[in-house]
Amino acid sequence: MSEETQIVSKVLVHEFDDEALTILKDVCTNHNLVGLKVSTGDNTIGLKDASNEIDDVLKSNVDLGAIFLTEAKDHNGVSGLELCVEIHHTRPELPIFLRREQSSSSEDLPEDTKKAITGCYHTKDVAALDDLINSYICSMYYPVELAKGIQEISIDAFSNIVKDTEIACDQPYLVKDQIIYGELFSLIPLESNWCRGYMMLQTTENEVLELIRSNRTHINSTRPDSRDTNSILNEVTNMIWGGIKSRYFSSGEGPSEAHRTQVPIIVNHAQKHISFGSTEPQLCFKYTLNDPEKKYPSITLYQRLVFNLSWSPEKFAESDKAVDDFVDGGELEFF
Amino acid sequence: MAQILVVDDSATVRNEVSSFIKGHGMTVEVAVDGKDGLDKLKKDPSVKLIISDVNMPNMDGLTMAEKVRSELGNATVNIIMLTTESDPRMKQRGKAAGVKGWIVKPFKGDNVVGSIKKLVGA
Repeated sequence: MSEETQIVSKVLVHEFDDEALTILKDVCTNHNLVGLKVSTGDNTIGLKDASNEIDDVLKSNVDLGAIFLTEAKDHNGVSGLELCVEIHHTRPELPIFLRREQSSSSEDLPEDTKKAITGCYHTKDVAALDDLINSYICSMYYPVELAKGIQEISIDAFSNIVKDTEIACDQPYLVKDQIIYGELFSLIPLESNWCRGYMMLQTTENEVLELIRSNRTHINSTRPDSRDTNSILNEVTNMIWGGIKSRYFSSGEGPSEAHRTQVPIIVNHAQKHISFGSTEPQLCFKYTLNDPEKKYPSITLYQRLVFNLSWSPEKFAESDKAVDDFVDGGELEFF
Repeated sequence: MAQILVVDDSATVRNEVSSFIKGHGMTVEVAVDGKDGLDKLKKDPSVKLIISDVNMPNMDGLTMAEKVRSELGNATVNIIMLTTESDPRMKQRGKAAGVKGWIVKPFKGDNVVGSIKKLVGA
């Protein structure tokens, strides 16, 4: 990613330890993060007020990339251990990094806390914090609205293709690896005047076969095969692609012919991997499709967006106007 | 003799739409792309309504619609596109080809069954 297209990401910081604050300031500077400090200096406010303060920021128009909390209690006796569960409930897509006092492990934390936080760090191990930031603060590279919108569109598409399912999605994350291992992939180009690349869906054939056998798709087959799995993956990819195109790619804003460069994509069957030849961070999502009655196993789908050919996120806001023209799915529009 | 021809490269969509139509007492034939759609329509010109995807291999749905009018000379069959596309330029092309209506996927049968019945005279 070129210097001029670097996105500056805002992060919310609920930290009061001077040493930790100094370290966080340096880390923020190094990663182009703008820290917004939660103001809970008034000793008379309690958990409700600290939480409200954060809640106000979360509900404002600030596009946040992450939240930094601490397990230590602040002047009002409020700990990040309590706040993280609440914040995760309100904004599950936001990564929460928790500073721990003794170590950077999360092993001894309660289950709901573990689920709410993305990672722990200790001030003695800044490299671990750098790794967390590089892996999880997607808004450093991708507009939060884009990540959120893709997640919504994809969940809609999964619900339309797979009957009777509960869909869970982890926080979006970044992967910079050139090699993508997997078994069953779909690929579709994404092209606009602000991005050019691919969307990829990834799963395993057995999981999709199991889904068809459990009669939760529109494929009626007692002995489904790879053609059926391909059909499912094909249609869900198509629906997500259409949704992204409708919402984010305004009409008439395709790349000009002069900008239609291409690079080869390598597919290595022997090693079961694919490579776009780029180390630009891929925007990744992990979806789990669960049977509400728990009779059938869950299915995991990975979604990756790799804009390996062109990426100009500064133009994304203009295309965002397309949201206003979003068409209701399933309605017949007569000409 | 089918009342409705469903053209889509996705077996998932073909099954979903045709099951819904059959469930409402109408007869249905399916085709896997635009080329197959034209062939099926040639064999059964009594089809009253084509519900077609746009993006398909071999021949896309809009090209098929144009050929239904120009090559087959069939001016009476109603054509509806069922697609993830919502680009106004594509709709314009469809309109020019005599496409009657446009549905952005997903297919929600209950929302459109009344219109489908009207178009096939059921």
